[in-house]
Amino acid sequence: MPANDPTPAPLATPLYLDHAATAPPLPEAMEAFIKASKTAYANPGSLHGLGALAARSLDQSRKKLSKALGARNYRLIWTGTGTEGNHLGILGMAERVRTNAKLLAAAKSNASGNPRVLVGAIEHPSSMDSALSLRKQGFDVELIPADTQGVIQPDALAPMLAEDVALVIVHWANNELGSLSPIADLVALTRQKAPHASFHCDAVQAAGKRPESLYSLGADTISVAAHKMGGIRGCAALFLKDGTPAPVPMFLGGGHEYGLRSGTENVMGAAAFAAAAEVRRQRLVEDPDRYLKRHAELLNHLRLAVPDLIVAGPTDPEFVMGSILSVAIPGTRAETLLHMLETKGISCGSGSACSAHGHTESPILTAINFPKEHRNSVLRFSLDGSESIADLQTIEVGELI
Amino acid sequence: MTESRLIYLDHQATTAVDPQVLEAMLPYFTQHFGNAASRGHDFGWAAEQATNQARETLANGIGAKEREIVFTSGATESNNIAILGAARMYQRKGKHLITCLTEHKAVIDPMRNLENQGWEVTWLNVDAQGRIDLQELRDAIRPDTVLVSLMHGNNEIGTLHPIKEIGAICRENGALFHCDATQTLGKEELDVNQMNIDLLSASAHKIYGPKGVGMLYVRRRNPRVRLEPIIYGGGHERGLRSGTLNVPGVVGFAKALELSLQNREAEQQRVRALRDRLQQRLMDKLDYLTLNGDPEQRLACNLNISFAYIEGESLVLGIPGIAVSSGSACTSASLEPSYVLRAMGVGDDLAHSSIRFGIGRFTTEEQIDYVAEKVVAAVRRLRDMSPLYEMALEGIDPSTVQWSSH
Repeated sequence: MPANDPTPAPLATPLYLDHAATAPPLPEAMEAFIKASKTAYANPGSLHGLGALAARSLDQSRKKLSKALGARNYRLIWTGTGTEGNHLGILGMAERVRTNAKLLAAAKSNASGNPRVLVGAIEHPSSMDSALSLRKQGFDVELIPADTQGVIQPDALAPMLAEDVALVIVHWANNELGSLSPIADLVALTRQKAPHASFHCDAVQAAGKRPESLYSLGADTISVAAHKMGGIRGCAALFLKDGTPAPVPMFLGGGHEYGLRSGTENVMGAAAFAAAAEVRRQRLVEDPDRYLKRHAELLNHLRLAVPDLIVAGPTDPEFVMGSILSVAIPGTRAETLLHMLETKGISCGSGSACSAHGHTESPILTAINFPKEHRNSVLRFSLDGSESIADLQTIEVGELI
Repeated sequence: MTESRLIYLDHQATTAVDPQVLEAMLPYFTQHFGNAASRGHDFGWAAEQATNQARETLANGIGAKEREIVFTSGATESNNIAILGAARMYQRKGKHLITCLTEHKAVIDPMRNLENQGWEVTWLNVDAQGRIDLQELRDAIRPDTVLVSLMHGNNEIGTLHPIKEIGAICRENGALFHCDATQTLGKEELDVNQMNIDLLSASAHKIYGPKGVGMLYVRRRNPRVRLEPIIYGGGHERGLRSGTLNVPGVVGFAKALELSLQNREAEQQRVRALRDRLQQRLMDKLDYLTLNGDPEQRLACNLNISFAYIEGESLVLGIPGIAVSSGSACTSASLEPSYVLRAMGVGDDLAHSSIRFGIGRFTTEEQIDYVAEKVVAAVRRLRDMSPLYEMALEGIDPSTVQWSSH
């Protein structure tokens, strides 16, 4: 190591509760990564024996990951990030469906003559920005309102659906609030009232945390990312439902991944992703409520210390994902609390880490009409699902305020 | 695999991760695993610091500034952002682009895509060694030319384009210059200022770094290059490439470049000597061989030879345990002959008989001698079965024979 070695010292007894931003790789994922880097390092596109080994490793990872996430009837396309998967599912599909004559005919009779794109009001910026950019491509883009719990309800979507809808975009779980939207119901409604629409679901936060299979969601395209469930960064995937026309690719050159995503495949990243997903699956089989239990314990514990605490997000159990708990502690500034918790070795988040700018008020809290005076007081705790209750009880918010 | 001994000679397709690179990456998986955008806690801060350090190392490696480096998922993405991004951003200036027939698919395919969308692309020809004519380039640049995209080292035949001269021509004539340096980063000398490069693509996995990480250099001054992003939302990488940053990956990339540069010239010499030794052994023992590519101006690690009268694929299968490539890895699953060799005027028969040997950091002299021996034996065996070779020995040129169909 050179003199300017950037490796900082390890943190003292940390409790990391920011898994929704990124999760530490699981030991099983690291093992798979290191093993693949030694045995499956060749280019899977090469014809020789080592190339075949790499191709086999990639294929095994594809099968394992699909199985672990319950992606029956879906084709897996490896991507670099969840953001890229959302682009492929949104921009790539918009480009594809715009050639559908029936959709265009239906769109001709509406006010603007453009096909419509319906996007959930509280999507991650990677989906929201790409959906909004479709306005420049001859689509009308409309927001589907979320309720105050951060849920896109069928009632909100139903009146917006019609034959001229090209794309519906709703994430499975919200990254700031931990709220679940009833994707299967929304998909069924879409099939019924908007037969030409493709349905994209961003499952980056919920995959690996929920016992339901991707198959049960039924969306046309579903994006997931390795690093949110203990895989490693730089590897993600888009699931494409069998029978759904393929999206127009974002990158070209080489024709990897059925021509849908060119670039040398990240064989080691894929191996780590598959291993992580298998562990998540196994843990959920052992205890499907592992997140919900911890979520409830943590909320109780925080409430004892701060009786006037306000949950930002779902309170009805059916909409609680479990791995994310966001709460406002009235009268405090989240950033101050965050730093105070940090000095105690507890890392959590405020707002979304994914928007690199930070410092602006969360548009998600605005969209769910969260009380304005509390919007700067929201802390986000996001769980691995293996924390002990005793660990969670070390969080002493009461004495900080 | 029938033989236990495995020799990897396909280093232009990809490389194994150097153990030192892996070691540098590990702490960022296990201890400092935070999201570089999580400004609120130490985990995120440590990740951001590591990223900055990596950015600096990579920038220094090509004579650039940190703020000019954009991290991507690989060279394919970098090439796509550079080409599609520049074409879309500057379409008011013009819709003309220049590239060459022997570029990597990750340049050719986005160029073809733009052609379908109304851009005009000039495809420069190459000579029999894979070299472009600089005068042809000069003549091709017009007032509405937005971008010239030419690679540094060719991935199949190893021919090096004179990028310093190309850069000067582009600068003089007001066109942006994109260089795909995937095969030369860490190997050949690269300086974006001396070479007037405005956009440069590279990848970690070709220099013993991890797969899934690449970079794009985007010039910020004289001129300031602007691009329309392909992937946005979140505003990472100054809005040019959104998505959670692959911190361990970029740390590994930087370490890989650092290792490559530490010892660059000596290693280049060592690799060149091994390559020349392999070339010499094959040429001494076998007849009817053709060297593909420029005999002088080519990658030190590359040896591309056509073995007339046999099929490249048969040879690959005839030397089990030795990993070499017939055609480029990206297209080798197809049975089409290499488009690079075709562009150089190599006939389909010789193109089908070409093999690429890619020498690397862990290749030894002993391995080279072993490979030479096995290849010679396999070629002799295959040629013994080849009526065409027999005809050639009898003094009949098989290409002049009129075959009747039956």
